[in-house]
Amino acid sequence: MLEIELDGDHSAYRSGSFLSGRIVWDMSQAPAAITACLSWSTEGKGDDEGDTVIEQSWHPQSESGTQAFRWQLPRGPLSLDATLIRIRWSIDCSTESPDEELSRPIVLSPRDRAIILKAI
Amino acid sequence: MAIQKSRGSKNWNSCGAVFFFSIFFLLGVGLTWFLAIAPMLKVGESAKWREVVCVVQQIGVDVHQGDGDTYAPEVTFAYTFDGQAYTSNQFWFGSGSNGDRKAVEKAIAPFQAGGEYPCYVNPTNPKEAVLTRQVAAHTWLGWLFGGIFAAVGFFGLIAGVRGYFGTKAAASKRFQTRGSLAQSHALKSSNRSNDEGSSADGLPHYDIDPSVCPVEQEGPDEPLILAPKGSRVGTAIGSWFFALIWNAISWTIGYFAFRDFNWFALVFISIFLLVGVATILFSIYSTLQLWNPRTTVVCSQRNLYAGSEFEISWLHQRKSSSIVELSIELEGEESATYRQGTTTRTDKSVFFKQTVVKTSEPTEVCDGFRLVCLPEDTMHSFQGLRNTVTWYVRVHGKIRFWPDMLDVLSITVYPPPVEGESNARN
Repeated sequence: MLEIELDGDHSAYRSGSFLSGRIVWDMSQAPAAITACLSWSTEGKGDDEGDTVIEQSWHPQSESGTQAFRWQLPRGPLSLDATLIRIRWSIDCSTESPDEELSRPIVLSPRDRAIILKAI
Repeated sequence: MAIQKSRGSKNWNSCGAVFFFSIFFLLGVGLTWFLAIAPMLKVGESAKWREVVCVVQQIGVDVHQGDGDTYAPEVTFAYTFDGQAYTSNQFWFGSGSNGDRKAVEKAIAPFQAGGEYPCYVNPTNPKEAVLTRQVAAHTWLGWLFGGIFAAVGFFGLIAGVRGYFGTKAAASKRFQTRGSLAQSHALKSSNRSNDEGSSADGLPHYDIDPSVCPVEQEGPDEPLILAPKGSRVGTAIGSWFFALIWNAISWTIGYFAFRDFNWFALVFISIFLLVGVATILFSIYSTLQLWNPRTTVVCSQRNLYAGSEFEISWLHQRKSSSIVELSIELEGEESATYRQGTTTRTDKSVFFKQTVVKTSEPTEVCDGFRLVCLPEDTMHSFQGLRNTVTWYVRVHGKIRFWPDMLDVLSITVYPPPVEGESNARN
């Protein structure tokens, strides 16, 4: 079992605000490494692109446990829902030996949702 | 995964372009060398060759049959050099044949089979002799096609190399940021005696990547003179360069199609000829635009955010009386670039348009200002490799009996500042 728990009940995070939570795992053996990343990527009509902006790794000693994290979010790019482009933010967590992956979307926006742009 | 793929494909595109245009360039240089430069060098070299009398044994036009017949002089002449008898088949300098039969007939007209004429022998290699010290009639084709291939290859190569290093620089910038973060975390982890169960002792954060998301310059927020997206001179030169290459190729093919009465080829090439005419008209249009008035647009503040209220002012550097109507618009546009088969396409979509001013009042056309407000709920400028969100001011001046003035000026809308930072939001 691999889970990402986030503190608070945020529908969206503001630029530069803090994102905190914990990785919870319960596996058959202690994973060699747990890595958590914060990244953005584009979807839509254009070719996909993106970047991993924060990456943090831990080497746990037991088969179950929790690992807290606290990150300061960047200013941009903001989450976007436009006609041609969508920008998505996510926290991606993976373990090594055994291999598991998990992704949890978040919204980076001054509103409680992604910025919406409609063609005129 | 998408991250790597996107950057990789861009790098591969640039590598592909470099490879493709290198072949073009080498082919162009090769063609120019063998068809034009080498024969001309031989002409210069042959000034030192020895003149002897030769007997033309046979002369005529050699016809190479194909889709369109090509012609070359066919000659055999005998000569004696240092008591030794030789024969040669070289009429002039330059090999190959061309489609112009009349030019070949004109070149061989002064020579008759059985006649005695001067010929020129290479003293260091008496087997090499030529009947006339001229270059082949089709040497200009070597300059034309070789030159076009080499020029297209050269400029494509430059663009490919710039694209490759531009992508590498942007990518390395991002990975450096990532790498330094990972390094600092590794250091912190190594300092911890036991990292399991301990809370994160640092606050990892990310310095915004200026190549993707704009970052304000340090210093006071001063008025900003907006710069045009492209230069008028650049557009004019670029359009003439393109028109020259396009027309040189299509009109040469058109000439041969017309001369050979190949009606199918003529109908086919006529489409390309029409496009060629359009490129010339556009080049003339863009050249005339060089004399249009130049608008200086000033934005009252440099740091713009969603919801910012600011002033746009304008002033014409050249005589603005020729402008019968001036309109200035603030626009926001998203664009997405994608591969479809073997071609790369870019789609654009305007999401915001606001008329700042639209006037035909001469004093207001000359100079003025307006208050503008960016929407609260909008996107900042975003410059991905394949996806962009751009903001610009479009200045359009209608001019009677002359090409209109059109300038597109970029503005930058920054992402919301972090609360407590010095760059206070307006």
